[in-house]
Amino acid sequence: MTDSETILKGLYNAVLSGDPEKAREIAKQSIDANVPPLLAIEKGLAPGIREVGEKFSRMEMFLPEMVLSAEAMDAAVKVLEPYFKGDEVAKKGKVLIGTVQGDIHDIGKNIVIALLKVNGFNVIDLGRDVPSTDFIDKAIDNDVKIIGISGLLTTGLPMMRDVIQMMTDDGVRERFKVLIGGGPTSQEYADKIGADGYGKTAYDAVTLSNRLMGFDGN
Amino acid sequence: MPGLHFDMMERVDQGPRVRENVFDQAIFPKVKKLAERYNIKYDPAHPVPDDDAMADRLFEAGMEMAVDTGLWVLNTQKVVKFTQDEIWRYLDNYHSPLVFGHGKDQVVMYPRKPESSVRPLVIGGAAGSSMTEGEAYVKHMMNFALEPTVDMIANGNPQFIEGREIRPYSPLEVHGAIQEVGWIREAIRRVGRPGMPMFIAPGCAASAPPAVAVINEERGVRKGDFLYAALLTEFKSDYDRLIRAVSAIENGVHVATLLAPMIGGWAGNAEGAAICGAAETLLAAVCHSSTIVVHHPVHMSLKNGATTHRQTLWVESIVGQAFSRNTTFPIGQNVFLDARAGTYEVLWEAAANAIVAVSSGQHSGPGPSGITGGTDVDMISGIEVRMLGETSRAVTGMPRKQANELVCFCLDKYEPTLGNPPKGKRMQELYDFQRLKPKKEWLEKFETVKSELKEHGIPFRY
Repeated sequence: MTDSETILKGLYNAVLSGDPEKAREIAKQSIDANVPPLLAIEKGLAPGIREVGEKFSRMEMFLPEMVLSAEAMDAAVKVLEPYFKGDEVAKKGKVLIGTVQGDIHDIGKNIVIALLKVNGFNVIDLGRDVPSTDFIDKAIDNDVKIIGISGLLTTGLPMMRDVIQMMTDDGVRERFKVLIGGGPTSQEYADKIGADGYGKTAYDAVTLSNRLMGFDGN
Repeated sequence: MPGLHFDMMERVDQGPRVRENVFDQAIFPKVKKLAERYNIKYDPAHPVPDDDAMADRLFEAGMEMAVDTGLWVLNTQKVVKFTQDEIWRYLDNYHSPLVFGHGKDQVVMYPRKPESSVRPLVIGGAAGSSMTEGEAYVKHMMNFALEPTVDMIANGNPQFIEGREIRPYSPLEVHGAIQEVGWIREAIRRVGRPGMPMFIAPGCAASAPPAVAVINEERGVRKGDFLYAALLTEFKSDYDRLIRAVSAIENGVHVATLLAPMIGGWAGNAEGAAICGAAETLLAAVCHSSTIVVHHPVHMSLKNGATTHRQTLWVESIVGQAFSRNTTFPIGQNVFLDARAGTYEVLWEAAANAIVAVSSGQHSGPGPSGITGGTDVDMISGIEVRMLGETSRAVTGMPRKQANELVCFCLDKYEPTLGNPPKGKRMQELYDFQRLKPKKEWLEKFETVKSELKEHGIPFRY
């Protein structure tokens, strides 16, 4: 195996095993060995994170492992980023996500975040109990493409509609795609309130985000 | 136990700050090591395991996890810990048997063991299910209270109050919660069970004030009833929940703490969820001064929070066995179904959950239910409650080996559609809503499933 191949394999394994320190160290080695940064990502890190996503979908890996793998990927990318010469890591787009006001359940949201990250999205997590206005204001501030609203309680349903209504009132509805998900939500409710999509499962959030950003089949 | 909530109130802001992500990510490595060390193994062929030694080992693993991990408090970002001695002091001084409710409608909760012939309590109702408000809501509750196998009644969730949508933190939350519990009191009065114990997590209440506002001897939650104060997944609570617990305790109301270890989440696999379930039960007992813990393991793949996945049934069973074998502390088995009223699948799911709970030494319910909302309203009926209750009675005393065979038989019936169940029907389509009688078609489905269960060995007497 060449030095380059060893480094790419090392990056792949560091992501798969969820080792940010290792990923950072090998990313530095790749710079020293003149491995093109984009190659390091496309042939080293990305296959690793794809494998993580697939293992998660088969329940061979779980949320904490996926989070660590995403952290390992981020750690390596941070090392490589200053060395891109006009090349840019093709992230799929920015997603802003939060649990609706009045609701502090967030485990489902956290699974969606981890899945989106391993599938190449930049994710801004607003956390839990998010005021409706924050979804819009932060989406504008961060220039995101997709807003994801999550909730487990039925009292959160009107809040989801409020966000979309406020976007319309503010004249920014067309700037963002809005996805909803969580226990009491449904496709029918998404249609009723004018959301752009409904995620029955965490994986649906990824499929929908891919489709909305034009990455169908990825 | 007297004064325990004083310890909790003091400890919530003691000690160093722990960041949430650090706390979360420490859970899986711990439970992975504990599962290995204590040899806790999930076997898909045995959703009802018959392994006393493993149940006991799970209890020990849970105790170790509880003492080591503690409970993370959202508002202070501190971890509350209790020692093993403190936990045992609570468990050992737990009063049992306990009496709930009032007058002729009082019920007694006796401690149970796996395969016990002690009567399990059945908590029937529709927590989490969206319902139409007002008289329709009263009728729903009457329907559940009319089932003779139901000992305690749990609420559903009205989506609107006087036609207005309920928004969190709004005054309508308080008004809605008070109305909601008032309707339940009206319902149990109408059916002649005015003292029936209530198991309440007001559907209108996203926050603490409305949950507390319903404590009222005349028209709300009374002494001898239950108020929920759930934990957050995993190992978390907050001031909102502690306020509910303290309000209940100081008003003579029992605390029921719900916990929902998630397979696929921070707990990892089924074994991890079982260890988390056991540990969180112990912490729920002491941190919320709970009278009962309602165990609700969930699987990442099921959106409705259904408890009927093969792996969640196993988690329910093994945690139930761990506690019933080692303590007198009761566990209720929350019953959330994937399918909806009017389908065969919903009945098979209800039966499976009843068999698991009762044979594992637990009490049955609250439930059956399922998270619905938005356009899915009134998708629950008394027939599912009837299936839960009658099955629970009939399998009391059943050996775990036989229970396992029956649960596998039920799984064969509904597992193929789990995650994508057939669309059900509204209560109003399945029942003569005026007379509160199931329509012929729905009753026939119930009799069909019951008949098949009887052929497979459930000794229904009626």
